[in-house]
Amino acid sequence: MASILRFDNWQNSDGTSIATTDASGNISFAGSGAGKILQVVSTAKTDTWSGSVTAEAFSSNITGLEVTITPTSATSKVLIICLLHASHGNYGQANWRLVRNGTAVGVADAASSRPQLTSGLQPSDVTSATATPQMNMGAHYLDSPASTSALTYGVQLYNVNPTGTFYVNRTQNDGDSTSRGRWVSTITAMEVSA
Amino acid sequence: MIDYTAILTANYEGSAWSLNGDTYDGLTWLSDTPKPTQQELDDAWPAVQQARQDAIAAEAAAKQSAIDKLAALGLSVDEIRAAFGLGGD
Repeated sequence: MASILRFDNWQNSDGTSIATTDASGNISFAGSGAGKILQVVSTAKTDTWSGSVTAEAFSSNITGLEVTITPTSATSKVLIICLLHASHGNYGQANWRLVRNGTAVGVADAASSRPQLTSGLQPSDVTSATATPQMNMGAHYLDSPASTSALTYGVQLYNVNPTGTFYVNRTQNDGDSTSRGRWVSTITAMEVSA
Repeated sequence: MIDYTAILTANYEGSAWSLNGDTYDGLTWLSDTPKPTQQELDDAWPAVQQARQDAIAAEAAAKQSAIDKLAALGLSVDEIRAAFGLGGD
């Protein structure tokens, strides 16, 4: 005959709760909640975006490359993973920053007038033919929003050069040809328990 | 398919805009100047397309001219490619 163990609250000899169950049969273990993925929200932008951005300024959020998550606890962290395919018509640049509800997060420390960026690429030194580009178009960032409100994370491009157009998920010359690709950019938010 | 991004880049330099997707419906005009109509952009497409093709042809011709001049100086194709990256495609 099979044995059945029934409990709502499992405690140690000191009366400290070790595990509890809820009406749905879920078991929660005390002290083991940190680092759990509580929810995952992801957006894949499979179409294109392009835009003319004012010199030395950020664009608005790239349309369709946003993700909204509502943390279940103010102590939760939010892990953002973003992969961006972008280029610019001039200067070999494509820099960007992560924003949460329009405010920059996951960017570099302030350093005078230098733009505070999350990721991107640009020539390390335009006067040197041998200097390698500064580049990395992906990013992940562990945010601590301290909020249980809806949080929208997005991507904003930064324009170094006064002229030119940004291209997302497409090339500048997008003529119909097997030699010109189209890409996908993604942004994912994961709520991580504290 | 009309490349509205190419038209806006070529004919509206200095204007601020964004285009989500490939169609006119995705155009957001951010400048104070009037937003161009779809008809205006459609009408501009043949000239922009031709200018793009002309630019590609001119670049290819310049590249070939450089190769020819370097070859006339006695450089082999491999030497030209190694030194200048020309002739590889």
